[in-house]
Amino acid sequence: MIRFINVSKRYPNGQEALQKVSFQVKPGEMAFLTGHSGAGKSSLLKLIALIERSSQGQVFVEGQNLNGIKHKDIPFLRRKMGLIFQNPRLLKERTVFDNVALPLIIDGYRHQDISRRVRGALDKVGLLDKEKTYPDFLSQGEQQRVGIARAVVNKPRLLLADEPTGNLDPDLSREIMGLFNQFKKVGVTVLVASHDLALIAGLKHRILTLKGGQLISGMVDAQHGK
Amino acid sequence: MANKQAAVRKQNSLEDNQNHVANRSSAYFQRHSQAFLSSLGRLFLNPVSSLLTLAVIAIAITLPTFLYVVLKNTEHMTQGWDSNGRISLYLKTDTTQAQAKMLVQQVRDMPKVGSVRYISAAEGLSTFERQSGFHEILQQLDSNPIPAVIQVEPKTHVQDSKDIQALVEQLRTLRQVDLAQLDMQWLQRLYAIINVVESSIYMLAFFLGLGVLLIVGNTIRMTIQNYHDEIETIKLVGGTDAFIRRPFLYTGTLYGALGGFMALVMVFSTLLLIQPAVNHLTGLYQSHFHTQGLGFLDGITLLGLSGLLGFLGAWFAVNRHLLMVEPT
Repeated sequence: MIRFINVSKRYPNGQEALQKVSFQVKPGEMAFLTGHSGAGKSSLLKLIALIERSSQGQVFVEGQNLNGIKHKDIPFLRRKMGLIFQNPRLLKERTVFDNVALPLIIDGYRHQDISRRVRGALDKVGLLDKEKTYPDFLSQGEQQRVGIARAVVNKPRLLLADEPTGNLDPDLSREIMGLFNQFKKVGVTVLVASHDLALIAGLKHRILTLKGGQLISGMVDAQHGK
Repeated sequence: MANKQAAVRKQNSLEDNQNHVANRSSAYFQRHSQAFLSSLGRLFLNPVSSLLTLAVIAIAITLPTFLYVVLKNTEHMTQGWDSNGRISLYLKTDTTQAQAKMLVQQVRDMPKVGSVRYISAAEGLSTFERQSGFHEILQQLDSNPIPAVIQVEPKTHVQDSKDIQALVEQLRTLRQVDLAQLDMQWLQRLYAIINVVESSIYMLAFFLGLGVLLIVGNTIRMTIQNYHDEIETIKLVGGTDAFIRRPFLYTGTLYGALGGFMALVMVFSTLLLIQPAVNHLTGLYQSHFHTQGLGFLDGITLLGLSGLLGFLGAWFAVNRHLLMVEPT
């Protein structure tokens, strides 16, 4: 599903965010990406969503080499994946329903399909009763769950989450991780960046560790022998 | 178990995708109406600033439109006047009917003369009475002070002013002709003035149109700044540039078209307000002149043009500012 081959990322200001990173995440696998802040976690996720482009090396998503994707085709790549951020980036002037519906509206779904799918996604994150609420009236945990509902509403095969529990207390964090686990169980590939080792260590998934832009552990999937 | 679920899920998503493709064309209209409605909503979100912007646009459009109406009326008024020039031969008052008839025949036979119209003294008097309103005064006169007139139109190919001047000289030498007058120079001057005014109005319209373009462009630029976060989010969930651009283009077009509509209302109200004054003026001249407003076609053209200006203003602003917003 995701494959990095000798990927380096250097920002225009000279900062080396990633150095010769190689790894692979298989379809349906769930993996964590950890390391101190500034170790390159966010940069790595940004390369997968083409928010940034690699300086060297190759990134593959579903077998497609991202180096070959033109600027105008980036939106269509992003529609294949669900992105979740530390700050859920909800639109404050729109209701929970409209926020979750956004990817479907963009992709040109019909009204009836949109209602059905948005309710399904909200049901999955346990917020069906909040569809008419505005984001400002939700707790942080609820806002993050709306962000997750928006990420999964068009049933992507890949979920990327960047510090999704960064603003949440431990109980809420476990709840969010539980949600990711459920998506993994229905075949979605999940890659979660988190520095909260205590939280992710208990979850029995592969942990990729970044240090100073280099991958120092978890390059191979121990469970599958590769 | 997990594999089976994954397979089921894949099947579902395949079916969904097929439905989804079949529904694309109807979704296209839905998407456009959605963008249209949301841009309308944005205008109502800040009603005061939207109204102010619209007022500025409307005033910028009103000015050249009103001048255009004035010009149109001037042209309408002068339409009956031939630019070719007409020569009036005023006959001596002692000319008899028979002499006049012979003279008409003589003039008609001249090679450069196109058409000839004879207006007898009596005919001239009654026309003058009707048009001038001096009926009572004229009644008191002993004799008809109006001379008989022969109106001579040169042949259409005789356009050169030298040729016409020569014709005038020739006619002037005829016996019984008291005065030969060429009614052309003042008309040519009038047309020249109208021409200058017309070009000035077009230039003014051009600059004010440019103004509308800039006003809309600037308004859209500020809107884009307000929606910076929203644009980023839309890009992150896979929105194309076209999707993001669309509502802004609708907003710009709406600004233009609504401003044009307000301009139409202002022009019509102005015409209504000045109507009594115009009536008074034309009344003084005993004229049957009717002011013309903007026709249906003119109105549609105005709305279309102002909508287009708004669209273009938005287009430039969007391409300059919107596409620079990239998520980080």
